[in-house]
Amino acid sequence: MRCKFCNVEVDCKTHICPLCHELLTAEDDKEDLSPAFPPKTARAERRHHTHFTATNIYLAASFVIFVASLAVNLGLHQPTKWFLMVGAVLLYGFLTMRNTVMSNNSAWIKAFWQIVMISLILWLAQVVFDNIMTDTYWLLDLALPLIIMISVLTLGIISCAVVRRNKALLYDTLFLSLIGFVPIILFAFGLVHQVLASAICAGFCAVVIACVIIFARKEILAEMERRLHW
Amino acid sequence: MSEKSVKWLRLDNSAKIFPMMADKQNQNLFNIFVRLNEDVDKMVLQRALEITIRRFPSMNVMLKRGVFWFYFEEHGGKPKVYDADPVVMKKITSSNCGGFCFRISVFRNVIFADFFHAVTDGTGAAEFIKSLLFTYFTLKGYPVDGEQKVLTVGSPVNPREYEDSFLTNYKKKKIKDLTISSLKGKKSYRIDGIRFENAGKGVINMYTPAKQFVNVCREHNCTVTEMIGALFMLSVYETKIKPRNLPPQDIQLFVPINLRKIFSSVTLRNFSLFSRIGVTASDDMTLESLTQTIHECLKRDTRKEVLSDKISTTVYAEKFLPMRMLPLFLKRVIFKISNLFFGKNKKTATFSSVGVVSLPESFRPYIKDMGFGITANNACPVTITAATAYDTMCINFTRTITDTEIEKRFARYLTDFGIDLKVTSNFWEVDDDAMQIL
Repeated sequence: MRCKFCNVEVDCKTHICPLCHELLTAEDDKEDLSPAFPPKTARAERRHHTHFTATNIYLAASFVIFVASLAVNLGLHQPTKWFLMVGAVLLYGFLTMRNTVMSNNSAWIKAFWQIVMISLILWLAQVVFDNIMTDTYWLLDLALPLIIMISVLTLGIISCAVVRRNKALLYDTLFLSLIGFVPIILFAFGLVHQVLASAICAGFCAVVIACVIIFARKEILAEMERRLHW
Repeated sequence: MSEKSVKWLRLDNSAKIFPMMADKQNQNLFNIFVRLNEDVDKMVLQRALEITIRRFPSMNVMLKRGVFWFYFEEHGGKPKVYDADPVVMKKITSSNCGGFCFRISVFRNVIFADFFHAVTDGTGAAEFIKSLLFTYFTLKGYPVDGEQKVLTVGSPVNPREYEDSFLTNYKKKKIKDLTISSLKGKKSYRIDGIRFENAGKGVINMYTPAKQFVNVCREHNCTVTEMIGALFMLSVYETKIKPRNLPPQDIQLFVPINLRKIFSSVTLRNFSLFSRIGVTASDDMTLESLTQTIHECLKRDTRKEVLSDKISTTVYAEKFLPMRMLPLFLKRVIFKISNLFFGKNKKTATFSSVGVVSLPESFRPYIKDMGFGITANNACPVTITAATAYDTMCINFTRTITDTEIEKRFARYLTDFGIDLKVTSNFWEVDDDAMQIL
């Protein structure tokens, strides 16, 4: 097919000139040509131009839920500001989606942020529902070491399960285990009052670190060389 | 069969910047498209890809984030051949390319190969595609021969193929001897127009007989690169600057220079630098004056000592202690901020002249033509690439703006010279409804 306006041959299946967009006449259509590119479909365009992303839908739904809970909570003159907890949980869901589910971050970084976020939610729960526990130190004394141990244990089990395919998770387990010493350090600074849970957490993490170093030191060194190259 | 694996690789000097600059919308991509004389057999191509990738350890990798720099880790999986997406050079992510830094896709008789620039440049990608085609044709049972032009899967892997040639050719210099100013650009005209509302890009390919084009260049006493560069600059001026009576504007082309021949490198990773070709657009511009300017700029910028100085400067930046010590997330913030303030309006367009792709004669019955394209973005809305395979030159325009005025004017120049042009497009600027009605 030829465009008489541009004086060029059109080498793909079309009825308009790619340059001037003038109609190509039917008598020009002598060859059996195929399209040069996959046809632009509404689906392809929608995929790239949609506002209805999972994030946007979640944000909109969260906003509605938060406003509704705020209205109910304040409207009924309830003394406990539980709408703050609703907001915190919704925010936690959003951050989990962005920084854990949809993120390419290392497993230990994801786990670290989970520990931080869950601890903050528990702290907020302590503030909002100030009558749930009389001892205000339960968060640092008990909850934090427990969350860390659960995280390390979960990552450790996953590492063992996929160690043949993904040795990098051993490195992540090692790094996450280092966080296990935070509660005992806090105890040293007088911020933790009951040492038992912190000591168990530190001991557990020390065992995990020792196991990783004994059984996978070569892999750990290789992984450190990669990740820390500068 | 020669198979080589690398456990991990540092990014080469030039590649380090690409993942740091990538964002939701933009990624430094380029593509190679090969039109065969018959429809592509996707199953056979899949098998060919799985075999070929083992010969290219620097491609068989996935991008990982380190504490200080990104790095490549050996990819344990198999790359997949996809159906071509209507969106040209769609962003490569770990989810849509299985963790690889390239994507092979097919549409009827066309093979599209999109590459993230961090993994290789045009020359390295062309070697990979040649090898892939060789394996594909062999599996199809066609009588093809590498003719010493293809890195066949059986050939031994030279460790120099995945070296960082910037480091190999780096000569330590004092900071006062570095040519930092040569890497800086000056403010130039940025092509404007109505942008596509979606993430897609408009593509127009112009195919022309290479001999005809070379003859025209001979008549004008210039090279193909100089001719295309000059015609593009004239087209930009005639369609974008002159009709609006804009004050004098600098048109600046960003032209990649392949360093392999100059520094005797065989690396398949990035090894190119840029030359900036600038003119102040005015009515006095003629084809002859522009080809002369481009000739002088390229002559100036392709001298070995100039390039050596540029290599030393870029490698020095990488080796600069405070830069090395910065954690990756801080490096990314600094690069993005500096790009925001200093990187904009430093070029009008990127023009890459790949030259002749050396394909074996035995491939000729099966390949119709071949071309290259570079992604366009808001900072550089139009890119132009020229490559020749056998007797056909393909000039590719990729753009993020809807109008095709520059391409139309460029084609008019060529047809006025008596050059035969065949044109294809993805018609991204035309509405779906309009296309269906038509």
